[in-house]
Amino acid sequence: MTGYTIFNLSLATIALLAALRFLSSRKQVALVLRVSCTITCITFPWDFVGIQLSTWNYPLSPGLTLVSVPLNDLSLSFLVSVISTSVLVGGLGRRLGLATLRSDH
Amino acid sequence: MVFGQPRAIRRHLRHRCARGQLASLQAALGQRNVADEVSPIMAGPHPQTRALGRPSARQHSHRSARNVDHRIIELHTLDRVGRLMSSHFSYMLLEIGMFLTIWLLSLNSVDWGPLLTKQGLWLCISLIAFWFTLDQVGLLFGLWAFPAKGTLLFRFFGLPLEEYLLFIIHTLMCYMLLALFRPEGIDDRLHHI
Repeated sequence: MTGYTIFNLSLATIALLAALRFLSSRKQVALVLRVSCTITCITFPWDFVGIQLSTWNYPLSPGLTLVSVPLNDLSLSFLVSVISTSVLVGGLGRRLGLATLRSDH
Repeated sequence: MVFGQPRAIRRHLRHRCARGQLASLQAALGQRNVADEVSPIMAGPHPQTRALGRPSARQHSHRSARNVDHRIIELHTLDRVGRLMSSHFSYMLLEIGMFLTIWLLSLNSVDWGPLLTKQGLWLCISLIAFWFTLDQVGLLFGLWAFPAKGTLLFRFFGLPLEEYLLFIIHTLMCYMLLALFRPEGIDDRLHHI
């Protein structure tokens, strides 16, 4: 297990706590997952190009890779998106009209 | 295409040509994956020159060396263009491209009002601070690094300027996609159509 994986596991704990704290219905969870998956899909080619252009690199082993993109990078992107989106839904949900999603709980 | 150390390569090629070791030179270039680029050198003198008569071994060696010089200059130019493409702006351009993609997708669905309230701004600042902490931890443990050649030269706390921009862009992307995927967001888009 690489250091990056351990880092992501701790981040997953934070993401889970954030989701439990800020999300109050399955529809909100589905919305957050949808946004996070979309951002992860966008991140994949972006990450690939960044790595090819040597914009960033990994001094230690980043773990398993998919087309030279570390899977840990994709996990990081997904988890950070879950945290950000959960916080935004929790804080601005009512103003964004997401509070109505609670009725179908 | 040859990347890096053109002076050393030039010296190496001249030495080989002067000694007439073209076959081994070709093999050496083949190892460097530049055989296609330097194949005209291997083909010997230009056809017009060939029509004038077969040059002596010494003349041929000099001409080859001159051709090598010419080709090396071309390769060096290609090298510089390559470096320019992967220059300091690459990260910034990637970020702008990603942001514009999401922005164009969610153009009619986003209401920036909630984000520009006091609460919205505080949320953004909190998320940016969280991102910053996360990035610093990653740097500290050597999980990732930002080489100087791919980013702008401005750095604060070891992070390039683009990374700070990414903190903002990611938060905005999450907000825009939330606005896009919420049921009202889809209704808004249909209304605009």
